Amino acid sequence: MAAMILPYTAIALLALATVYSAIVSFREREGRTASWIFPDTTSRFARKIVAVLTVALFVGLVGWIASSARSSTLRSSRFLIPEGYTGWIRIEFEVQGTPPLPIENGQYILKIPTDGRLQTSCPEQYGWADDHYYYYSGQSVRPISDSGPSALIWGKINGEASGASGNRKYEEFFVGTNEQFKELSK
Amino acid sequence: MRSTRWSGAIIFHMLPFFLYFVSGLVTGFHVYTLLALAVYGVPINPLEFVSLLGSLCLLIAAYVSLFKPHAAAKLALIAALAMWSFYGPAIAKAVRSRLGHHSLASISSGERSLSAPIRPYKVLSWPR
Repeated sequence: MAAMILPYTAIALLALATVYSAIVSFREREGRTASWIFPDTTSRFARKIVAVLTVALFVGLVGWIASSARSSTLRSSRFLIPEGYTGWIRIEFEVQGTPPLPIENGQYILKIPTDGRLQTSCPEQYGWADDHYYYYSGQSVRPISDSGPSALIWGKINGEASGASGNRKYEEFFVGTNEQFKELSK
Repeated sequence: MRSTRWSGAIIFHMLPFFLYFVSGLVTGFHVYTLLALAVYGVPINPLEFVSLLGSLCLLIAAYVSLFKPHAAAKLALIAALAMWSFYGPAIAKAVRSRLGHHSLASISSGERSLSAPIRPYKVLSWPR
């Protein structure tokens, strides 16, 4: 129900704005009297307040975007997926007794086992990173496209699940064609 | 007492501004959250872009209303009607889904519902 608050609010406000703008648009302009609901104009002082608040909002927004971009520089990951694998991949973080992720050339190496599920003691990272995906077979690797029409990586999602072993942070994504991914979304 | 009435008058006389501004902001954010699902492979409905443009026009109308309320109302009406081109079918689909006892969160055949989809966890095939 909470997920529907935004759509319901958006629809209610849109309906209100539509009715109000329609009434104002089709009102007789001649001989009408201004009222608080149908004002003729706004005072200079009010306009100044709006201008100041707009500039403050804009500066705050730019500052927030700049600071979040600066603080989100994280190590990229290289996902090694078994050749021929099609389906969901799941990586579970902060799992006790599992090895940390190895680092090569400044990148985390996530070698996915054939069952598509990897567990690591490393914490999950959040923010922007340039991740890369590869199919591996023995010692050979070949890149997988994660964007454009030939993309084979879909539905990347981060989540947290609670179970008998406590809370577990995980990341999931789908490996396969867009058609296969859509088939699963039905 | 006098200053309270005065500041209240300012707010009341900015009713169109607040209405268009908040509507543009909320609808814009809502459509943005739907568009953001594209990173998870959810297909994009072109009408979402029309709605987003409508939200932008509502924000512009909010500022125009401070100077020309009548012109702003016309712009807001056009923007709102453009936005209904997305919200109308989306509401119809949501109502149909509810009458058919389906979840509002479902998606089917590339159509977009009003809220985020629920993704199943299933593996198509394992490597040999």
